[in-house]
Amino acid sequence: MTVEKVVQIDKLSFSYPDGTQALKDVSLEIAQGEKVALIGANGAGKSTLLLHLNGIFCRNGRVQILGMKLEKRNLKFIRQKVGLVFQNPDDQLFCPTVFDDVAFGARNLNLLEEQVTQRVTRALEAVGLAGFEHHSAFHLSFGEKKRVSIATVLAMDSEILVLDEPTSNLDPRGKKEIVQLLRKIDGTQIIVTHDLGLAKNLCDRVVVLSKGKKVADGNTEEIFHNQAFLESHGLA
Amino acid sequence: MRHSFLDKYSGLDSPIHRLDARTKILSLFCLIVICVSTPPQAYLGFLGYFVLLAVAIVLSRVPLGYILRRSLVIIPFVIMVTIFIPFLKPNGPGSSYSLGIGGLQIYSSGLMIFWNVLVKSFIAVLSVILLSSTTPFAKLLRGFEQLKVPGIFIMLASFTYRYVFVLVDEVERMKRARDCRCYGGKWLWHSKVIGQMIGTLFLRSYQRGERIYVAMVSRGFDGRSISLGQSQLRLADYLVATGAVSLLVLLRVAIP
Repeated sequence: MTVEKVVQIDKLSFSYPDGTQALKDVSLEIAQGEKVALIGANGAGKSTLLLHLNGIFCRNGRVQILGMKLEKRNLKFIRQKVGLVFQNPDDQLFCPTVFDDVAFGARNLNLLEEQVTQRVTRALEAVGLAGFEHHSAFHLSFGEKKRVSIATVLAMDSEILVLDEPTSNLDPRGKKEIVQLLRKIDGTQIIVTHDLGLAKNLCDRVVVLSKGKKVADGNTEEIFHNQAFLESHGLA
Repeated sequence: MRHSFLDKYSGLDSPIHRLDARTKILSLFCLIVICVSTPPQAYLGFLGYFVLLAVAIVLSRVPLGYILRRSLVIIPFVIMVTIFIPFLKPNGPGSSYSLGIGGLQIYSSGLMIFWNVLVKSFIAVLSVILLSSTTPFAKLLRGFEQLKVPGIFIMLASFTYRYVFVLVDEVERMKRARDCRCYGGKWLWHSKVIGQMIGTLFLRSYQRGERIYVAMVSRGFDGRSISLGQSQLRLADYLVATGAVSLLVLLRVAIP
């Protein structure tokens, strides 16, 4: 094994308290530096899987991040390493100013205030929003909010970036900016999306979920070439 | 949608805006406490407080009309509560004025209470408006945090401020969606729809709360309160704070 596996999921099943089975025996391995698109119709279990990646859901110890079991005592480490960016920026940004939002994660790592400031500046520069520190989140455009959301996890120096629908509700230019931004950022990325164009543009590998099961995992072009397969899973 | 109805004008630049939030909180809080403790007959004292506030307002370049209009939001409630006090008969002896209609009388002791409540609440309201329109909300919160107000209150206020705009937007969208489908009609039907909208809003906010919590936990939130960083006090802050407090104390002591 030459390439390090950063995410290892072994036969993960999960059902919600109301009995809905959201995931059935999903296994998944992701190597360092891979950019993987996780696609599937509405209700396929994408978001549930995503919430397992940094231990919002951790029931049965079947997930390993960077070789560490997803357990209570490892949560702090794992949450630093896995940066989750949620779909709705109004959920992700909850502080009075952009600065405080981007600093939130970094401050939770008990860094010194100067280091926090450095990281915030760096993260905002990376998403092209330098100088927005003292704006309020509700004064930003939707595209800007999306980019600040990405900055909030960049400031934590996460090794694995997990994004839920990074391009939803964006205009074409906004989408293009997000694609360019994500391409620039090194490291492992897992992108949950319906946007097949985004997946094609950014990811070499695609994982398809359908009704809680993994139904395909492989080269993006090969999978997208199979029109009948996509249609049968509500993706085309 | 753009909102700025809570701290409008807080982005201006003026000597008052440049002061640290703590200085302003402390000075204005001191003004309120001293004003409340002043006996109602000390008219000169109240005049003094008004003059001090007026100087600060002029220095802050916030339009006077705006501040007065904002105070109109609160003052009518104060009047509503206190308007009947002058008509109440006091226990002890006291002078009274007859109004000549149906034997109504106004008692001077009640009138004094009315004046007392009105002038004190007016000064307090003006102070709070001055504070909020010269300090951006984020700085205000940080000031309170540095003054050691418990973190849970800071967080509550911060979330309220952040999400009141989201909620207002949500209500606007719901109203628009409702009106687009030819909403209108009798009052009873009206109230049912409004009830349903309130219920929906509650459920959406509840779910949003859960999503926000998840987003916080993913970034390492562990139940300790959010820290908003530090700010430095400058020499001007010390001067203004000591100046304001000593002037107020002097006014209070000098005028019996």
